[in-house]
Amino acid sequence: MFGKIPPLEKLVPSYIQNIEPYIPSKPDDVLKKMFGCSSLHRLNNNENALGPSPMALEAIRNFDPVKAAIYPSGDAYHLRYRLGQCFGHSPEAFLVGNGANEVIAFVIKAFCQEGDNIITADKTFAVYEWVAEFSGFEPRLIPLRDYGFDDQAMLQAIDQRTKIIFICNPNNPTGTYWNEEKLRAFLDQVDGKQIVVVDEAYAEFAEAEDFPNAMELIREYPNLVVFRTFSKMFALAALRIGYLVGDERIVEVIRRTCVVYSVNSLAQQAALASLEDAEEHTERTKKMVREAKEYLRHELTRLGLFHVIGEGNFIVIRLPMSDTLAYRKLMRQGIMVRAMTGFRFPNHIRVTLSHLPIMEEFIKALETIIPS
Amino acid sequence: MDYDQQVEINVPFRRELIPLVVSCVEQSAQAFGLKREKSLPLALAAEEVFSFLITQAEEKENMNLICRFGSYYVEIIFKFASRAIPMRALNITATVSAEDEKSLEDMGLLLAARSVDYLRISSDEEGNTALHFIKEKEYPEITLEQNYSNSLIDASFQVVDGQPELLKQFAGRVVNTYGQDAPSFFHFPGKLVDMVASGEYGAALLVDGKSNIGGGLLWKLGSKMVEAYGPYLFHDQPTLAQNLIEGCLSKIARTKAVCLVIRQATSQAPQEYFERLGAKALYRQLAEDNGAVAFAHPSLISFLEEAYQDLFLPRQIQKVEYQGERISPYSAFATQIDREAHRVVLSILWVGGDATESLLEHIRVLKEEGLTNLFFELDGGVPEQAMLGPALLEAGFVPILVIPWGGRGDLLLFEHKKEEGL
Repeated sequence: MFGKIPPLEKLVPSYIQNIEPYIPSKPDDVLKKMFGCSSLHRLNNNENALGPSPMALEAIRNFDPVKAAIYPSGDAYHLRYRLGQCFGHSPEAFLVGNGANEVIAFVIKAFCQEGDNIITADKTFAVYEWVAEFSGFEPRLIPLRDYGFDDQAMLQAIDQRTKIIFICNPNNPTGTYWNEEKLRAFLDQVDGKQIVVVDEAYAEFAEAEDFPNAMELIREYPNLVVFRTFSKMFALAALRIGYLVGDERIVEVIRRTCVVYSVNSLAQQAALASLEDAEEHTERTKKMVREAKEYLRHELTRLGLFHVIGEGNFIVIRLPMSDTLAYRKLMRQGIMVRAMTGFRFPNHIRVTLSHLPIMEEFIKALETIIPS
Repeated sequence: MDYDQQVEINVPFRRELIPLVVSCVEQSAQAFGLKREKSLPLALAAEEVFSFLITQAEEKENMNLICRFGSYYVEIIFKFASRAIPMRALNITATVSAEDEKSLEDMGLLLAARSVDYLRISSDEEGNTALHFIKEKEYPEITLEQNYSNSLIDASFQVVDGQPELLKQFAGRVVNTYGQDAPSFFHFPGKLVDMVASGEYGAALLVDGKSNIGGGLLWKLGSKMVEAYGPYLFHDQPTLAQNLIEGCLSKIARTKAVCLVIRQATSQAPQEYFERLGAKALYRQLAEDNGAVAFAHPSLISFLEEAYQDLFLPRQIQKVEYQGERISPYSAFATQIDREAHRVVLSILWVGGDATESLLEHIRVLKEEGLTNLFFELDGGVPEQAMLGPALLEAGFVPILVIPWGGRGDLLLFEHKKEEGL
């Protein structure tokens, strides 16, 4: 006899009942079979087409399989010390997580309680909103202004129950950013009353001269918490490793909600190695991204398609057709992009910037699907 | 009033408790806003259903009776351990013979099914079946003497949520402008307000600085499919229709819904946001479609293959055939009737051995009642429904289009060809 299923409608909180689980894309072999394509270029997740840095690759190859039996460093000890040296903060200012997504959850758990709210934009990385929602807190979503975060509207949305403000800088998916002047002005007006998270998942791609150094601003603004990831520039997405950095007293509070041992040894070792040749790897990647941007800017202008090119390794394109239909049509040709309706950008697609031959293939496929 | 209000009692299957069930339904329905003449049929339905279940129930079994306030309707849910109930009694074509004792026993269910506006059957993973009986509230019909035209229009319209007074204005303007093409609920502004208040519907309205309505879009939230009506526009300004569609999409983009459909799109609908399904329907997905299994009878596979090819949809078609296994002798069909449009949409509640005969009987009865536009919706995500393919074709239905994710899986829509099947 099968066991009895508990009364889920009574056990599950209402704010969970209304949430649909996120369904990630299927593996390549399944997708190729479903769409009938022989090859597949994933331009949907903003991964670095160059792959991990040479030092990181070597660290991965040299990983001792016997170590699989041993628990990892529960708080990424060596990595935190190295990060501290790189950025001039104490190791205690860093908290490493199983991808930056995990540290988003840590921060929300640490500061929010029933009735509280967080503030972010309506068209940005969805995880801030999701984690708040499935934790039972209100996400206040402020519309973008000219494709960027609207500082004044965000400040106006703050009330007594606002605990955290999330700013994605540069913003995913628009690539827009706040320069140092704007970020400082915002922090001044918040006046230390809320936690301000600046998610810099794509900061290493930024080439604009006035792009801020938020890591430095932590010294002046103890309510500032910065997120970074090894998934994007450092191409360790499969290993799931990211971190946050902030004032030690703030990070100590966040650490109380953190799940230790969630970051595996291979990820820690590869991340540590990535820091050794970070400069060369970043330069090579920036060159590839720059070339892709230049090529796409020219081609999309030729095709008359509106596009937003910002500071990340991605581009947003407005199509004269449904983005979800464009997704299916491009998939038939082995090109996987991100349909942006879920980001509240209907009829837009986001495309990861990659090697030129792949960008050429993308444009070729795009030309076949856009209505004349 | 709290729109989640419901009354729930757990009742043992005992004849002496019939008055309790009747009283609970009647009192709750009235408390939730149904007039006496509407609450009485619901109470009668409850009496018939409960009486019938008593005859079927084993000792010491209970039924959950839930009376739910749905803002513009009252829903009565009878939830009990799944068992064989004569589903055919729930068909609108069911007839009772005075000489057939078994058939007389089912008469109560038949009366119950016909006394409500909507009927639905569901089952859960705990092995329970639930009969949902819905009776809508009564609302005054719109009076078109009222002046719904705008004055002193401010050029800049903003998309706002549907507030009650704005919704009433919107209903009036839709009826004024679109006449017979407007869905019937627009003729009842109070109902429209309650529909949106229920949370089952959403609305985006274009309003200028002087509270003039420039247009609007209404949508019904389903589990996977959102069905929209409109967009209705009362001014000829560029981008108004786009603003409405984008307003709707921003509301539903991060919900459980995976697609948006407008079955009878107005001519103002911005085509670039949609894919066309058939002659009038517009459709778009809200998320990336990475494939699904579609269950189908071999007789429908070539139609589906062609449809999926045209829609660029990744689908793995899985063949389903009846191969002599034991199934219920009787089928049950749900009917949604729009008398003004002489339109009926049938779907299957329960697949049984008499499917072809029952379908033919439905067609006969519906046509006798002057309902000539017959459609059938088959859910390709439910394997048992696929077995109905031959019965549908034999009864004169032909597949016309696929609505991806319109049900648990893709909905295959059939239309009855008038000269065939009878």
